[in-house]
Amino acid sequence: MAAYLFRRLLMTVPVWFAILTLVFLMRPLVPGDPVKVMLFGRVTSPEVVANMRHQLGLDDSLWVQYLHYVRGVLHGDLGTSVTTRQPVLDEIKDRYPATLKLAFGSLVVSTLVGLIAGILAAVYKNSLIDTASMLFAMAGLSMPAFWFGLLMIYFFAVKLSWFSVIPDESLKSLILPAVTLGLITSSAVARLVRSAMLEVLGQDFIRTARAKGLRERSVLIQHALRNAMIPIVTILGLQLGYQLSGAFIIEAVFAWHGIGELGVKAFAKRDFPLIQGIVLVVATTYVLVNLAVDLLYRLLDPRVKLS
Amino acid sequence: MNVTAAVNAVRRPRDQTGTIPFLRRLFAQRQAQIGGVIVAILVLMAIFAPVIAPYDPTEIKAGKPLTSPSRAHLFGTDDLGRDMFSRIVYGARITLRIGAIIVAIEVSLGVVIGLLAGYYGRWVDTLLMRFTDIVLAFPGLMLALAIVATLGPSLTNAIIAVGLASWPLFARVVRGSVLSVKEMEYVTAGRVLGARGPHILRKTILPNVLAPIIVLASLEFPAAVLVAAALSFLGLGAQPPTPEWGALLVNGRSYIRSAPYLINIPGAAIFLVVLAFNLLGNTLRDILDPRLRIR
Repeated sequence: MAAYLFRRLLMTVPVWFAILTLVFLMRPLVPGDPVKVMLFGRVTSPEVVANMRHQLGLDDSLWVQYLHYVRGVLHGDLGTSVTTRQPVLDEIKDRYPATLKLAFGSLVVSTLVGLIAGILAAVYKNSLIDTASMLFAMAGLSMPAFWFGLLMIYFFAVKLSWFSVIPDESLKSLILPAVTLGLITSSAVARLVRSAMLEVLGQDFIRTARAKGLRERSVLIQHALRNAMIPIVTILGLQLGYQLSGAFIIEAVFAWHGIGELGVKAFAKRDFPLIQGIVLVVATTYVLVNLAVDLLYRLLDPRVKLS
Repeated sequence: MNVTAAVNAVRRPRDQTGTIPFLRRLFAQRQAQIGGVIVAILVLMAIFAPVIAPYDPTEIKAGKPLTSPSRAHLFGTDDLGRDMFSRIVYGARITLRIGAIIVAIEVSLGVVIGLLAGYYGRWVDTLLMRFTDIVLAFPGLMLALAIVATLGPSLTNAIIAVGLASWPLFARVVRGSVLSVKEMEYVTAGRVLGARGPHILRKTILPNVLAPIIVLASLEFPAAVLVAAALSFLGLGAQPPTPEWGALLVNGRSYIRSAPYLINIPGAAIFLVVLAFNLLGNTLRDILDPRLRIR
């Protein structure tokens, strides 16, 4: 396992450097002068433009800029935000706990709802429960997250006044965004759980377990679900990766002070140092979560080859 | 069995592969029927928008601002008195165009890269697939956001961004299909007869990997519509006064208490269109992918 972990980590290094290079290239690829783009056409003196260009290191050749960027990142320096004048890393650190809270809250909702709906649909295949579960899943897949979020705000915050429209630090204010994000992502989980369970339920060892006289609950949970876990862990891992990467839309709809909301503001203001920092952190998180999912396969099923 | 019956027996399977039998099989499914009706309405709305829409979609003060749905204004009016029904009807055109262009970009890039990687193998495959993996290492929406931020916010740039962020799925699927098709005897026969790589790719391999491309394109269309609407919602896609549905929704957000129809009507329109294409795509997948059909 240690050798496998080492090899997988080693494989991640070139991917991460490629991501770093692409993130660096964002700024040189901006059509026109990036400084003027960031100034949004505001008329400023040539000295200010020259000073900003110098601060961003744009006077140097592309190769030197790249080396400075890589060195900075490796030393934990992601640059300074053009709009807030704060170090990018500090901005991200401030926002990450809120994103973590939302990611885990919504993962709990999507796992519970997705597992229950998927297992019920598989066990009662072709019944009303199956149809209802799959209708729910199809509706979830087709639902625009921003509209669903606004509907939740309209019913539960505006009409029923159960929650505040503006979120605070309390656990209660987590409920609405976490349920919204969790319900939307649970539809993909439910579909996958259903198909994975259907495949496993048709296998001989399930018939053997039933023939031995085991209780149905034990057959379903200990035998079927355990063997259906690999695809389920994959989708849950991907969901967590997506949620940890900052659920941009949900955070923007609920004004949730996470990395996604920070990203939307940075993208709108074209604050390139902040954008680059956020894209790098998000992509790194995504790669690491995928790595963790791969490692989890090994724990769940020792037959999974190390290659 | 007489000769005619024997010929018919041989012919039957071939007849079932034609376009009309295929469409008959597709629309025999309830899911495809519902999806098909909604898509047909959308297409008709888009084609006949100038006839159906009672007002110009950008006409300010077509009615009193923030009027609830009534006979004069079926879907009410927005904060500037623009007729929401006309804006939704014209928005159908934009939605269809967005979905079609994004999928065209994804297919063009993904299919070319997948064909080249799968057919030529070796360093071409390694180079193209590692690049694909790197693009896949970014969450799709965030990559699209980053590209729009780089190019500047506009509907055209949003379309380019979503297309550029979503092609890797096509590249992966096409490469996988090419790897199995290129081992077929008819491909070897073409090579023996002197056909060159590009000719074999275009004339022999591409037609045989079309099924997964069609299935994926039908499933990517609704995803593309959703992401483009999301970009407009975040202010990075369609800009005012374009009646794109995501942009209509963001405008209505400020009036969630006094005029909730301003968010509900465009939201429901996006939901219905995405649902319709998902239903069609799912049925297509069930028909064209025999492995899934058995299950």
